[in-house]
Amino acid sequence: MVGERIRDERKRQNITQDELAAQVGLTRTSITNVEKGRQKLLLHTLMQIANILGIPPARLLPTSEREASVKLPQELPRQVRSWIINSISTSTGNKRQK
Amino acid sequence: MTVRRKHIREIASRLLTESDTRRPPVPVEQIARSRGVLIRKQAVDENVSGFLYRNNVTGKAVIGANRQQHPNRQRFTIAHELGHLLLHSGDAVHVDTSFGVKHRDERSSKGMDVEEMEANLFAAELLIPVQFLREDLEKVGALDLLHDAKVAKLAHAYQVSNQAMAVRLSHLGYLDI
Repeated sequence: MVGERIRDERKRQNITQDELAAQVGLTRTSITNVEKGRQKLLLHTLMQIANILGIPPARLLPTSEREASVKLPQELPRQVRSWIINSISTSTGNKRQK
Repeated sequence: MTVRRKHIREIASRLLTESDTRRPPVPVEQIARSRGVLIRKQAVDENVSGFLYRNNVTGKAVIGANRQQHPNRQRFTIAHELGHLLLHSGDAVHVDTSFGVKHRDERSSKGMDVEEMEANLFAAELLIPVQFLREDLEKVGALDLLHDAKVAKLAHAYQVSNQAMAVRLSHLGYLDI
């Protein structure tokens, strides 16, 4: 989730993985792995990336509000809501991702 | 807007052709998957039948069916949600609560929206295709449909509820209920 946001924002600003890697002191491979969610990220690296991208770090973090940006009917039981949210997030978390 | 009967039958019929389905039961999950839909089943509150999630950007879709309900009902739910996906544009998440043939008349009279009726019709067209039914009725003999056991036998062959089969037969003019 975080990786996707970094990638989206980086691409939006036309920054290459190489450029980002050089600025945060990681290899390009590490950036690839971070963006694909295969590599963990130190908090200070996340802050650095946010600085380089010129955005608040919070924009790179998943929040329940953002993940649940789909509107669910108010009256649904909690169990049903979590079923739907989980189904949606597992569907976007797998390798079929674009 | 009225229910687009012809359009709905055409779409259902195309799916049957594409999946090379010639006899019941119609492999509804396989058909949904062939359209890129992920199926998620879970036992939840019995008033919920299922949901459809679609991402209009990636084209990804997820259909959820309530495992708490009878397997035949789950098939109907999947077909119903697939109907929404193929027929309607709309919200990212659509949840169906207590919909279905059982409630159709009651809800229609309350002005249940056309999209629900279309999705139900689509499910009936997909799960109980009229051309399959005609063949079977020739074998069974339409008059015998007055016997509940015959309807139940047909329902069993199509893996739908007796009620869904009875409604379908009645809509096609084979049965008075």
